[in-house]
Amino acid sequence: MSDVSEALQEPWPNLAVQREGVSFGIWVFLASEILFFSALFITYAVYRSFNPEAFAAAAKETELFYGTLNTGLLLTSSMTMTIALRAATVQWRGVTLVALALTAALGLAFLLCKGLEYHDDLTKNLFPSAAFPLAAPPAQLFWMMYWIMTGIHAIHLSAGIAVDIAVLLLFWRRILPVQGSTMEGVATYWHFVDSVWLVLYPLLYLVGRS
Amino acid sequence: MRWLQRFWTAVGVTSLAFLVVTGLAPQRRAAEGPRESTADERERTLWRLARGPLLIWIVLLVVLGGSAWSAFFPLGALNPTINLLLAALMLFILATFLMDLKSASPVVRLVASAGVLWVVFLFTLTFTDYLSRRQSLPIEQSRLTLPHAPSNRAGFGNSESTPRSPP
Repeated sequence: MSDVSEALQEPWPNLAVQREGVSFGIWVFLASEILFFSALFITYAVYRSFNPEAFAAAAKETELFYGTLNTGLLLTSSMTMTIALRAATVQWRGVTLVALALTAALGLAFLLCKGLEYHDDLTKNLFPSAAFPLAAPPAQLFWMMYWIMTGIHAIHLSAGIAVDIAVLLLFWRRILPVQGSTMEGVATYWHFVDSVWLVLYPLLYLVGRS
Repeated sequence: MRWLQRFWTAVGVTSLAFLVVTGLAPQRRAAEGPRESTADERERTLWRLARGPLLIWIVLLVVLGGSAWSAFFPLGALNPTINLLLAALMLFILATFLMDLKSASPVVRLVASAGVLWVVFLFTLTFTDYLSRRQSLPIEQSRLTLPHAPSNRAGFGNSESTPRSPP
């Protein structure tokens, strides 16, 4: 096992303080991300408040199976990511690498399911266009929000998977020693992407089901 | 409109609960330590590392199932309210126990809370406008219109149809 002090960066005096700095920095970034996604959520809320029936009819057309499966996949990935962080904190290299690999695999599984869902949506012409199948015009607003919000979430998740794999390789190739300081930011960002989906799920998939 | 009022009330209450609980929770952080050596110790360490996340994962899946299940009952305005409250509960559990805000330093909790606080402001200010408009009118008719101006081009300086005041 290499010396964990190799992971120490300027200007931090030790890894504990460095980890604190990483946590602070990633939360500042996430605070701006929260507001970024909130702009989308409030746009959705205003449109829906003026078109409740059309939004309910449009939301019925979403694929509840894929939505629920994807939520379960992301929750499971958050669990494996937390185990990776805990294992890295006690410098347990094997468990950290396996948990990181599982997390990336679950993230990729989410994107695969999302791709299958997008394929089904496009087959049914559920994209704002002249061929859109639902009669009420505001239904296209719902589907516009669906494509924008899920698309931006997928971009964020792809970034999370890329960072996850990058850290996995850094640990695996022993370029960085396994420790919690590096993992802190990766794990917090991953959980945030999961959190965004937890809000999207009831807004997009559970409306108009009763 | 009632579900929207309930929604941002729920957002406000959840945010306040989040601020209070994360602010008052005792600080605790796992100590950085050497790897375990024997097989028994490793097994115990693995269980100690994994049992917390596993428990939280099970709780989150149960709440997810409850949310999906409740959506099929015809409860009217209660449906979105229940779904959004359960989503807020899941976010709270995730942030507190998996994002480690429970054991984070006060400055980190403050930054995390600030993001949520601004969201409350965003929703409050926006819906102070929309919820106070005449609710019987669609959005395009609740717009401000100027007297003597064509209804579809109000205030945009159409020189042919908009009467000008004498110099």
